Amino acid sequence: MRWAAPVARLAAAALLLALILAPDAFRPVFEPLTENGAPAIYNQGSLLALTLDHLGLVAASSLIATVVAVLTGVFVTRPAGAEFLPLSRSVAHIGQTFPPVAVLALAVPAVGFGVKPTMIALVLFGLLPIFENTVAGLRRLPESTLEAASGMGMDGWRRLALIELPLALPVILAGVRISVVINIGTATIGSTVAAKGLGEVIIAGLNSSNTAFVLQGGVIVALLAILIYDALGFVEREAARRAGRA
Amino acid sequence: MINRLIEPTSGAIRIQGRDTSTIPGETLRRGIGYVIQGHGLFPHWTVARNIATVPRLLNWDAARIARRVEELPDLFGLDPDVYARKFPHQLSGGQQQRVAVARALAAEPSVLLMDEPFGALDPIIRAKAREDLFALQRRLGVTVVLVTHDMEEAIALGDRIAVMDRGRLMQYATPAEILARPAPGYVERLVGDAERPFRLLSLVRVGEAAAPGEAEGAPIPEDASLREALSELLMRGASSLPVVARDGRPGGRVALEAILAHARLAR
Repeated sequence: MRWAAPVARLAAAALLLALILAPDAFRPVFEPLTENGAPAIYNQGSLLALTLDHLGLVAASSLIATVVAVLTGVFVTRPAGAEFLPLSRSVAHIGQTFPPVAVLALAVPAVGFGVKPTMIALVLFGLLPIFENTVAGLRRLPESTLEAASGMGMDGWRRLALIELPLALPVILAGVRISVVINIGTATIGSTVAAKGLGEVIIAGLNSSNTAFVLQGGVIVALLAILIYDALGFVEREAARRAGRA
Repeated sequence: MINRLIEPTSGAIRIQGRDTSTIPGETLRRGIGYVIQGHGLFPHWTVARNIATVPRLLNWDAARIARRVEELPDLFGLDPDVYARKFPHQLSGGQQQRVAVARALAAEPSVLLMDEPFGALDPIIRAKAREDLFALQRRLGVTVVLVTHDMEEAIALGDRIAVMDRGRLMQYATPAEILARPAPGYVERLVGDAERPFRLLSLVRVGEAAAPGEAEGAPIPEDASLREALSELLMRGASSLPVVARDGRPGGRVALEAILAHARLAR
């Protein structure tokens, strides 16, 4: 069944593009879910624009979360930063435990409506997997490799840049992948505070009791998550191959 | 401690008369070859890149590095055209070991540190790796400091052996001296077992015990050890063996009594 995975991948991608670019084609599918002649297809804006906004939000927040989490992860695995490990771990865990909705509620009074509070919530929510994987990836390196690096006369920076980070990269990328996928779903709640995104479709559906809208938004978000998870998996395997593990 | 991965708490270590504590750690380590147990090759780098590690740290120019990467694997019986682009996980254990030694020698260090370099190899490859190292050392004249738990290995390879017990130096002498006059206590227990006469024999070449004359049977090379000669005699049930010199000419005979005399010299 070697063809099964590529076929499924292609089918999912085709379905996603059709849902975004030609939503009217799905009228017969969504029609039965509406009541009292409500519209079956989202009609309050371009789905393509919303999808791009949504992806932009996720990309920006994941980038920030990655930079912050990797830097912190590297710092706490150096001898100088070791004592900060428990503290940063607690902060990362709190970020994950605190519901994004609650973060939004607290952030809006401080920074106003729109993209800003959503970014704050997404960055906080995305930190933990990347941070934990960075720490795990750096700590799991074989002692003999590190000793060889130091024994050959590499200083701390060279050892980090030439040996440790490249070897830990697959594990770090696995963390990024989890974080990105979580945030593709979580980003929908940004629409409650007026950040543009696919959450608008779902919320519009909830507000008008229109199941067709909810489903339409939900399916697009789900397909995005699946396809991006899959694509990042490729990147991760490639990194693992280069790290000489596969 | 020699390469200051661990700093000495007291005393000084001098390499060619220079106190190592006056040299920055990284600079010192780039001048010392280092081979650890389990090879420690960088898995994400090719053999060529691994070998180039220290030359690159020393900012050698590209042409010089390329030349070194060409000639070193050759020295270890690895064809550079075949192996340069391979990754460590594509090599056998013995090949990984050889690449690790090649990498340590890349920047032509005057001292080579080896921490149980053959520990992870199976016995046959280990014997081969040991012979290769011995031959290489003789050829390059590099000082090798080798840590081992294997007394056979120490006796076979060492010009001088330092016996350590729980961080203390118990005896520092030639293998013959250690076998003949072991320091009382730990060293005595270490070498004073039933193997001792055989170890003594393993230090002496057949050529040194040979006498003029002839004997029956297949000849034994003159640089074989007396231990090998004794083993041959026992297996053949003979009392003497013909000896053949390195150039292929007859080298006389070696007799059982002469071998036994060398085993007794210890007392």
